Amino acid sequence: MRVVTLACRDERTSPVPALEGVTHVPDLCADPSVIDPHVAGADRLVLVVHPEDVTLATLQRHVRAAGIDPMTVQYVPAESIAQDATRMPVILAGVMARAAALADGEPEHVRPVFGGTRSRREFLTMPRPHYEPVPHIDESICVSGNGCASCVAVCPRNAYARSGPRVLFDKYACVSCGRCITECPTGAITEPTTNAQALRAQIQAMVEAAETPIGVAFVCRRRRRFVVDSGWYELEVPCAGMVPATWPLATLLLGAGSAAIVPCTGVGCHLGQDSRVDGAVAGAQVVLTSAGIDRERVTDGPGRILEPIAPVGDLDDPFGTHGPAEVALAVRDAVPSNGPVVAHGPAMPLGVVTIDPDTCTVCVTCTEVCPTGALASETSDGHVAVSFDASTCTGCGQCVPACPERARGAIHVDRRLDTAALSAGRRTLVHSATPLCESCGRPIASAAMLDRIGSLLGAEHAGTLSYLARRCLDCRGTG
Amino acid sequence: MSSAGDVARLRQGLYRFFGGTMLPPEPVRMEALLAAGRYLETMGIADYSFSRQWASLMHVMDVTATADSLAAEYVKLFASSTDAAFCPPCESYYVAAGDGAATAEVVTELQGEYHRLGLVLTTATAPADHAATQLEVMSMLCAREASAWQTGDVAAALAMLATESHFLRRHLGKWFPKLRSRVRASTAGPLYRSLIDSIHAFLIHDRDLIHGLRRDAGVLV
Repeated sequence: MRVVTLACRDERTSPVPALEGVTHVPDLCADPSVIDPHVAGADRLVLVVHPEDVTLATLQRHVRAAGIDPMTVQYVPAESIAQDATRMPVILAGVMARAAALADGEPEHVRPVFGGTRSRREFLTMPRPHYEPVPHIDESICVSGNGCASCVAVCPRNAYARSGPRVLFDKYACVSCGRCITECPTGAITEPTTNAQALRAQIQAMVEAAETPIGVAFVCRRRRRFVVDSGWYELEVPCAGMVPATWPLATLLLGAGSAAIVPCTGVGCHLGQDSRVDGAVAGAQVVLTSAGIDRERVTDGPGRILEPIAPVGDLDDPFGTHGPAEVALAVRDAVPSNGPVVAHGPAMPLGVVTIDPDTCTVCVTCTEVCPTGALASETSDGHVAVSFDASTCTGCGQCVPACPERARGAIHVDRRLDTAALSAGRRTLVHSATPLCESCGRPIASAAMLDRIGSLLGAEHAGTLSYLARRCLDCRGTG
Repeated sequence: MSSAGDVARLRQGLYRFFGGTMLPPEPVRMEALLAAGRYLETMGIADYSFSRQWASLMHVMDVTATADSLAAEYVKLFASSTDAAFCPPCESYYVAAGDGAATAEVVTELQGEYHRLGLVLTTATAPADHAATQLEVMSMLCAREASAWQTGDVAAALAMLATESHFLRRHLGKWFPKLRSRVRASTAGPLYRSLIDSIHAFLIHDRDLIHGLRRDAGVLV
C-alpha cells in the first residue's frame, strides 16, 4: 500500500516543516491538477491543505483519475500544522496509517451533491458534482428479515424505514452521523471513511510516533476544530455520538495515556447526540473505576495525560463487531488483582439476557430473532434448551418484543458490561422436556409450552390439551 | 460547468454503450463499442464517481475486446442455461424465479410500459426484459430529456427525469444488483466482471443523480 502525502505550500503555512515523506506542492489548494504527477501509482493520499480553498469536485476528479477512491483521502488542515509544527509527525503518522487501512468503498457509499436548490432556469447550467460519504447496508449480512430494526430506531434523521422484511435507506435524508454503524448488531452497515481497522491503525501509529504519552480525542468531523492541548491528538469520526463506551477504553489499551470523546461546542450537537456522548464517557469511567483504574483517563475534553496503562497483550479487533467483549476482558486483565468488572448504561455495546424459567415456555422464538447468535437453541433426546453467550450479545433487545410471554416478564435484556458473564462462555438459561408425537415420533412442543396452554385452556378443556400433547402439528387430524 | 443537456447526452451515450456491451461480443460490435467508449470519455465521465469502475472497464476492454474467448464466456455466462455459471441478464429470471406465469407478467408489463413510452421492440436482438433492451430504453429516455433541456423546456425535462426514475426503480434498479451478485460468484473473466461492476456503479450513480436533480429542482421534498 503506497501512501503519498502532499502539503500545500503557500505563505499562510510557512514555515512549513520539512518532513520525510511529505512533498510540498505549490498552489495545491487552488489548482488540484498539480497532484497528478505526484499520485501516479499511489494507493492512498494524504493532503495537508486549507480546506476552504479547495474545490472538492475538481480535487475528487483528479484523485479518481489516479485510481484512488476519493473517500479514502485524508485531509489535514494546514492551519493546525502552522499552530504547532512539532505535532505534525504524530498527526501525519496517524492519518497515513488510517488511509492505508481504509478499504475502497462500494458505489452505494457516496452521494452526489450539485450545490443545493436551484431555480428551474438555473438547471440549464450545472456545476460538477462532488461526493459525500454515506453508509450502506450489506443486505447479505443484514438481519432485518428477523425483525431487526436497530438502525431505524437510532437514526436521528429517519433515513431508515422498514418495508416488510427489508430496511430501506434514503441516502439524501442521511447526515452520515454513523450512529447506525455502531448500533448494527451484525456489522452490516459500513461507511467508507471510518472502519475498525482504520481507527486502530491511526491510534497505534500516533502512539508509536509520539515520544511522550499522548491523549486521543474522538471528535466529530463536522465540529469546529478545537485548539488541541499539548499532547492531545484528534481522531475524526462521523459524529461523537456514534462512539460507544468501549472505544475510549480500547484507545487506552492500544497505548494512549488518556482518551476523550469531545461533544460539540456552543449549542451542542445538532443531531441531539449530547446525552449519548455523556453516557459513553460516564460508562467508560464506571468501567475504569470498577477495574481499579483512574477514571479520569476518559473525559469529555482534553485533560491530564497519564502514563499508559500496562500493555495487556495484542488485541484482535477492538473496534469491530466483537470488539466490546474483547476490550472489557482486557480492561479487567489490565490490573492483575481485579475482580469482575461491571458497568450498566445505554452506551454499553454489550448486553446480558436473563430468562425467567417460571414464565418462559421455551418456544425458542428469541433464538430465531437474535441477530448475533448470542441466544441459541438446542434440541436433543426429548429436550430443548435455550443458551446464551454474553460475548456476542450487543444488547440490541430484538429478543424482547419477539417473546410471546414478554408481558409476563419472561425475558429481560440489560445493557451491561459484565466480565463475569463474558468469561462464563455459553451457558444454558432455560430448558424443558419435549414430548414426542405418538404418530410420527417427532417433538410436539416443549412441555413448558404445553403446561402454559393447559393453564390458559383450563380444566374444562383437559381433553383438548391431552390431544395436543400427544400429536404434533402435522399429525393432528390425521386419524 | 456543463449544461443539464450535456449531462443528459452523456447519460444517453452511456446507457447505449452499456446496452451494447450486454449483447453478444461480435468483433465488429466490440470494436465499435471500444471507439464509442473512448468518445464518451471526452464528454466528462471523469467528473463522476463511477469513472473509477469505467476506467477499469476500458482498460480491460483494451486488452480483451478482440479475444476469441469472449464469445465463449458470453455464452457460458448469459446464454447457456445448462452451465453452472449461468447468469441470465433478464429481469424475469430474478423477479419471477422460474414461475412461467410470473415471467409472462414481467414481460407483458414491460411491453406495456414500452408502448406507453411510444417504443416498440423492432428486432429480435434481445427480449423485452433483457438488460440490453432496458438499458437502451433508458438511453432513449435520456435522449428525450436532453432534447427538452436544449429547447429550454425545463418542465418537460423534469417530467422525463421522473419517467427515468420510475423505470430505473421498477426495473434495472431492482434486479441488476442480483445479476451482479451472481456474476461475482461465478467464474466470470475480467471483462464481464468489470462490465457488470461498471454498469452497477453507473446505475447507482444515475439513480442518485436523478434523485438529486429532482430534489434540487423542488420536485421532491
